[in-house]
Order: sequence, then C-alpha cells, then structure tokens
Amino acid sequence: MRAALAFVGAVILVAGCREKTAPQSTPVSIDASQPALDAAPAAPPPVDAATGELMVTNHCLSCHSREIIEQQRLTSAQWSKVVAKMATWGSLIGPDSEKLARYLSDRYGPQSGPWRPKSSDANEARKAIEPTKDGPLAGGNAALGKGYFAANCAVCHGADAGGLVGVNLVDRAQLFRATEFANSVRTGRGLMPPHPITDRDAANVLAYLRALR
Amino acid sequence: MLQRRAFLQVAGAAFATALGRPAFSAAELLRYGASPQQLATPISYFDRLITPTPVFFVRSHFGPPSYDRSRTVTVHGLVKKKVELSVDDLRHLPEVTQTAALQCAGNGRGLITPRVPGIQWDHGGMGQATWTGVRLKDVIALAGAKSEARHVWLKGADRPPKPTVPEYQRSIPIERALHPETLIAYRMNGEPLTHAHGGPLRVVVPGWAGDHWVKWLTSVQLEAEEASGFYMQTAYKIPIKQAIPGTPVPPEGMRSVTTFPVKSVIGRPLDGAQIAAGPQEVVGVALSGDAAIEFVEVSTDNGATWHRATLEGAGGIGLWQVFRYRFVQKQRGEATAIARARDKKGNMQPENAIWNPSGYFWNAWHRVQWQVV
Repeated sequence: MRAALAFVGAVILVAGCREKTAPQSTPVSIDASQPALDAAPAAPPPVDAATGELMVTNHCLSCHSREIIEQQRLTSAQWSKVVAKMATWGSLIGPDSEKLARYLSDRYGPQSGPWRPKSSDANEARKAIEPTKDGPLAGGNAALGKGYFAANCAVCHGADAGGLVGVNLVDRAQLFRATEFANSVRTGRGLMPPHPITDRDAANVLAYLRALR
Repeated sequence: MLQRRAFLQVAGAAFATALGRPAFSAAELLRYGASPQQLATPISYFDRLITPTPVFFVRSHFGPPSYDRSRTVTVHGLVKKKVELSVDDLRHLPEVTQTAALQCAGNGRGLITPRVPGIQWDHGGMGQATWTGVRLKDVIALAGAKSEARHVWLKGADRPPKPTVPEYQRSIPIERALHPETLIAYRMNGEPLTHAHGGPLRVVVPGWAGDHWVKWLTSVQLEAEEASGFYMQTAYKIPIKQAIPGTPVPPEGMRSVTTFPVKSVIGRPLDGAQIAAGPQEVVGVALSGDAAIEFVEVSTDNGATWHRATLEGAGGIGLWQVFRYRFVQKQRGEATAIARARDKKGNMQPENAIWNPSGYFWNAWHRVQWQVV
C-alpha cells in the first residue's frame, strides 16, 4: 500500500513535535484555582479542521490507519473514553485530549452519515505485506546500522527499537520491504517528520533491525 | 513461484464464480484498515462453502511480524518437559484437514445501534476454509500436561506498536484445547497458510470467535488460570445478562466471548440488485458456534410466512452450510427476502441482535431487497 501509510516508524528525533506535545510542556487549561460552577459553562467552540487534523496526524496515525478513525460514529462520551484509553496506551495527546475528543465527535459523531469501505484489490493487498527485493538497500552493515540507529532513531524508537514515542521496529513485516521502509523514513508518518536518510544508512539500519528479535 | 501460480488459480476460480463480475476484473476485499490491514470479504462470496483465500477477510490488532518460516512454537508452563517445535517438527505428527468457519467476534458491529467503537464490519468479517495441520492435543502431549493445567495461553509473534500497549494473548480452557478439532494449522484451502492469515502457524478453534484463532503462533503455555492481560480480562467480553443498550456494564457483569451464536447471511441477491422477472434464488450461508444448523427459513413477505431452504455441505459445530431457496416472481417491482436460522441446540437467530458494549456477535435476521425487472 502507500509507503507513507506503512506501519514503519523510523529514524529520528522529533524535536519540534515533542516540545509541542509532551504532556507536561503545555499548561493545562483547567485548574483548581479557577472559579467554577457559578455559571453554566458555554459550549466550547468547534475545533477547526486544521488543528483537528494536526492532532489526528500527531496522535493517532503513527499506529492507526486513517480509515479506522473515519469509520467510527461515536458520541462525545465515547470518543472521550477512546482518547483516554489511547493516552494510557502511549499516545502523547496529554492536555489536548479533550480538544481531540471534541474534534472527533464533531467530525465522526452519530449524525455524521454513512461510511463505506473502499474496495481493495486482493492481489495488491497480498503484495502490500510480502517481502520485496532489497535493491540498492541490500547488503547493509548491521554494526554501522546499530550506530546510526543509536544516534538518530533510538531517542524515539527506544534503545532496543521496541518503541517509545515512536513505534516498535522489532520483528515487523515491513523490515523486509526495504524501499517502503526507506520511503517511510523519508516521508514521515504521524508524529515522525521526514528524515533524509541515504540508501547506505537505510541499508545498514535495516541490517541491524532485522537481526533483532 | 509455486505459491504465486496457486494463488492465481484460486483467484481465477473466484473470478469465474463471482456473479455479475466480468472475467477480467480483479478480486476485491473491502478495506477497513490499510496498515495494519483490516479487510472484509465482500458479501457476494457468501453463496458458497469455501471462501477463496485471496478474498478471505484479514484482521489483527497489530499487523504481521516478519514472515519467517523457521519460527518455532514453544510449549511451556505447566508441562512435564518444555518443547520447542519447528513447522517441520510438527509435520511428524498426524496431519488433520477440516473445514471450519472463522468469524471475528466483532463481525456486524457496524450494524449495531447505538454505535460502539471498533472495526465497523458489515457482514464481511467471516469466511470458511479448509484448515490443515496437527491437533493441538498432540502438540501438548509432546510436552506432557501437568494435572493442574486448566487453561492454554496462546500467543503469536506480532508485537504491539509500543511497549505501553498490551500484548495480544488469549487463552482457551484445557478441554477445548484438547478437543480433537482444535488445530495448529499450516495450510489453508490446500496452500501454505498465507502471512496475512497467520502463517506459518495459527490456531484453529471451530465454533469459537476469531480472537482465539491466534495467528503467527509462537507460544502455547499451560497454566492453572486463564490468561492475564487486557485482551483476556478486559476486551472480548460480553454481558452475562442482557444490557440496556448504550449503557456501560461493570466488569463483574461480563464474561469472555467464546462460541459465536447462530446466524445466517444472504449472499445473493445483493441488496439493490436488478433481477429478471421469473425464477428468483436466495442463497446464503448459515452457521453456529454451538451446534450444527437445524434449518434455515426464508420469508419473501416480510416475515408473514416462512419457507424452509435447502441446505448444502456437511453440518457441524462452527461449520457453515449453504442454504438455497427458490421462488417465482413474475410481476416487476420490489422483492425482499429475510433469512433466519436455527441450530440443533434450538438456538434461533433473533429478529434483532442483542446490544453489547463492544458490539460482538451481531446476528439479527438478514434482509435484502432487490428489483424484479
């Protein structure tokens, strides 16, 4: 399928994104010192599409395909529960949880009309997960890949590549889809920004990751 | 190369029999998720006993691990001797082939109201295949179960995206694990089990929902208790007593999903089809996780009268049969059919499905409407 959708995170320190989204880095808008309960709260304004989509990209799409979100038709209470669960499962949505749930329930609420799955060619679907030829990404050096990974990837994907801010990269089918893997790194996915890795470095990183179990 | 040829043959057969499809069109699945893949079988395939592998639904929580035929399965826990077995080791055990339907617990979730979160399947989260492999009981016997073993924990090589996401693990009671129809399969529809469908090894538990048919199997662990963890203790639960639609149910009011309930689905005519006046044929599949199908009835007058359909294929627990009902409609205009099934334990497919918080086991009467032209 699309390289950008591949379930392959990779390689990178997401410096800018982390600053914006780390749970402690943004003041929480509700705190105990604020006066409350003496007036009915006004309905919060709708979240604009650009803000909403940025939150979806940053906090949902590293792990989920977009259509998983689009097919839901959930109430505000249901979306809040889903977002809260994802926060406990490692999404860095943190203080924006309420805003994201509000955006999702406005956009994908019970009244949002029908959603229909798209047709997917069976042959393409099979090919989307099977190994591809390594081509220019063949013959990587695992020791060099280990060094590159430690310097560029480990901060998000974990020292053991098992996932942290970024996703797990151990024992993934996509490690044997070298071109797609490299394209994912270069294009970015979810919170991961594009990273211009060379073919040689990508080959080395792949050689390193493939040996992990 | 061999695999590719075989695939093309199966796919070709699928094209030839798919009604109303030009011969050159590709077989298609319905995409509920691109990565990880969540793919449904189109309803038009529910007119036959075997679902072709290329269009057989695909579902997993985390997507496939790397394809590795040398992956082994370890039998451990409350056993006399821990054993680690390769696919080739398993081939020394007696080989068994059996047909069984595989159905996602959440199949039909998209049809439930009030709506609940999860994959919004219509009907396509199921399929029937022939599964070839070895009996799980023969594998367990190699390790020797200790008498205190009561549950078998099943785990695959797929990993969650982050360490903060729970691992996927299910357990089945030892009695079901030792049942002669519970298999570790390495072939599906006569070909090596595809990566998407859990290859090299997956569990087959006829009659039980798909969450027990663990894919990419690596670990069979015998324990005194059922598996711990989110996917056993929190997910895949249904209310013990019928819940008020749209309301939460406390954990103590829930039980694990096991067998899927009786259900029939009409594969043909398709909703909205146009069919020439004269003979009309309603074809579908009927299955129950608790017993063989007793009968399927079809109504063409919105439930006022019901007619027995003929059944094709062998009956059994978790095994679907094709039903067929023919009638003549000469006048042009709307035609409808509703199907309902009963299994041999007397379970009747209900007019309306029972709502539950996770949207499992939707099995309401299926109704289609088409135009006679």
